[in-house]
Amino acid sequence: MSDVVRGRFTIVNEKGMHARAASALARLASKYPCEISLSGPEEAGVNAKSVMGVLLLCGAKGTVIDVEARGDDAQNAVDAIGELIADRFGEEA
Amino acid sequence: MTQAPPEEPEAMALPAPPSVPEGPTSDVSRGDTIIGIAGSHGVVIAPVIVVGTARSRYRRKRIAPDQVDDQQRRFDEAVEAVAAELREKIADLDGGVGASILDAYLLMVGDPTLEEHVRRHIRQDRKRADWAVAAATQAFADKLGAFDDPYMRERRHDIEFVGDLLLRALGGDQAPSFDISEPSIVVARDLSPADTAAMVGKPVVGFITEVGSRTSHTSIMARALEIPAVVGVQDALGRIDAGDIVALDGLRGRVIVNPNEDEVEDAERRRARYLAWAKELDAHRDDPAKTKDDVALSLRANIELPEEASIARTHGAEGVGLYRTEYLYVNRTEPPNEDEQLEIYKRVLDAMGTENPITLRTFDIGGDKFVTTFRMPDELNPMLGLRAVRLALAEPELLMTQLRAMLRASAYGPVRIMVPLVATLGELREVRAMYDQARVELEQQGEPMAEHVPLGVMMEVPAAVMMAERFAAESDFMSIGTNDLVQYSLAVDRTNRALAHLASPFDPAILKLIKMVVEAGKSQSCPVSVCGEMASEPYGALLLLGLGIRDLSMEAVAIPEIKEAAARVPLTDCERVADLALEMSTARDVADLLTDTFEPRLRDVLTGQPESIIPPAPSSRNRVPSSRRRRPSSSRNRIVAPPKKG
Repeated sequence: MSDVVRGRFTIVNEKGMHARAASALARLASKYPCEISLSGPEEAGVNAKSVMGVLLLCGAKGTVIDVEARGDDAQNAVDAIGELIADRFGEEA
Repeated sequence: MTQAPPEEPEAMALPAPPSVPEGPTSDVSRGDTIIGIAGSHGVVIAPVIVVGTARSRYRRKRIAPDQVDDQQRRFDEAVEAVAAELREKIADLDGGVGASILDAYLLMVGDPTLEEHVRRHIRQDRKRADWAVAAATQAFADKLGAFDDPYMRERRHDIEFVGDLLLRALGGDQAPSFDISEPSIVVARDLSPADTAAMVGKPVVGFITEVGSRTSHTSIMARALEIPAVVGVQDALGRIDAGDIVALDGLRGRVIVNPNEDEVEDAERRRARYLAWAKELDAHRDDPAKTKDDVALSLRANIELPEEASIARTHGAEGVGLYRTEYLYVNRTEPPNEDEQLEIYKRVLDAMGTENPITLRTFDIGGDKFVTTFRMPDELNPMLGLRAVRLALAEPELLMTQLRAMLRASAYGPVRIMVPLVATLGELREVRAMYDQARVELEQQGEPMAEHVPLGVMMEVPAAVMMAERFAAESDFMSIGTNDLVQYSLAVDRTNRALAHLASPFDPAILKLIKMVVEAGKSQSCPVSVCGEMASEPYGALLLLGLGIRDLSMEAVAIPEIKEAAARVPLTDCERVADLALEMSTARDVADLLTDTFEPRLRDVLTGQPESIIPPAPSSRNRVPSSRRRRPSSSRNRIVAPPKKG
């Protein structure tokens, strides 16, 4: 196994990590072969490729999310997730 | 809220203790008492089944070890089926917000975390696939529901919806199938007409619902089926589980979950007393209905299922004052054709005998009655929308079919046709024209019909009441629907719990409207009756008598009570009360007046117990008086109380 890549991001969009945002994140994560887990204040070690899992990370605005990726393309996966969060999940708000 | 904390998803790996107790818990702790609204009289103690949403319709059944793979496969297949369905819908929507929401659902259905949890429920807890899905999705939903953020709390509905989709796919059929093998109390958020229709003939012995009032569909159906009901029980689904034993008291509007021995005993005592009382009333069902001073009354039945006609007859109904034909349209994809309808109307006529008329109301679809036959447009305010006669005139073929079937039924017994929710004379005239056309065509086709089939209107829209004289001149009868009249006059949505206190038929405004219809009927020699809920409650019925109504139609089970109440009160008292009430300012004043005047004479009728329940009167007999029907009333000569001030 390759190294573990970690990242820490803050949710900045108004609506937080709602259903559509969660599905966007899970969908993005699913594109990468590596294992990706997310941890927030409410949940730890959630599978990033699972919408249900992502939804359980109480993702209101301001929440800090830790991303941990392990395996191929881990760095790219963490970067992409960071970008998605910073990009307010592609939403106008 | 619920006393049980939301289940932790992690904890789900541990097998839950079996949730089906064998009987009432024998320990001395008291059961959980929940207060609701008395929807239908009676007392019953029985185990519970939970219905309502697909989510709660699953059977909580554990499986044998060798069935684990089967159940896992069932789940996998359900996921595939739902995913395919969603993909199809997404393709249909072709982009847009709707599609992206469905996209999210699609992702959730195939979600690895969900799958993992369901797998654990099946493999470790040996739950059947549907139970596993329900447990897993509910755990997620509860988790989200516990968040502080209201937006996140709302997301629980997404997960619940996905759970519903999966459960439906697992059930293979979305129609509620009530798999009830032993006498059970049904607990639900709400029961639709389709739900209750599916329960006829099943060993259902009581209803508990979270929503509803005394006049909501569940209460009405429960009374028609003669089973007790408590409605408006907040968080019933959260506090009552399938398999719990519940003591349901439909007299006091109280539910005890897993009662202790004392509580069971108490409930059984109350049940016995109630049954004795009901039998007592029943013994007099063939007595003619009249007031204490011998003014004759007609008490008829409101029915919605043909099966209820025989219940109506056994309760001494003089015919049917309201047959809600919309239930013919429920739970089917095509509207019933003319011959089908004719057969059903004939069944009702057969069951009721031919000496009394059957009043067939043309379909009242729309509003709160969701019917699968039609694709109803989404309306912001369905109660003010395309419903009842408005829908009938917009879909003239449906109305024509129904009018023809009703006219043909008149060959087999006395039939009246009644049109609901008429607001303007133009509507009545349009229906009249179709009625005439149907007659002519049927005559040409050689179909036998009665010579005269009265065509009447429901008076339930204030605008029609203002025009009551014209309506009286142009219709063969008028029937006041008090429920809708209250709703439309007081501008109160009758399904809204928060407004229930406003929705009183005792409001002086309503009494004045009723009086207007009575006067209009008198001036035009047009018979006036009441078929609303008001007629089925002792106070309401007595007040209506005082306002000049002699023809009351109500749910069948109320007939013996109303007959008994009327027999104890002279019409002159009713008239004095009505005159006073018409001068009053508020519904509260009127209710107080009715209580002060009639309560002492009607205590047993009102409580459904031969003696006042708590505390027992000092001189009370503990036994049901079986030899005499009427309690000697010490207040026989009680004078009508003056209106209360303030």
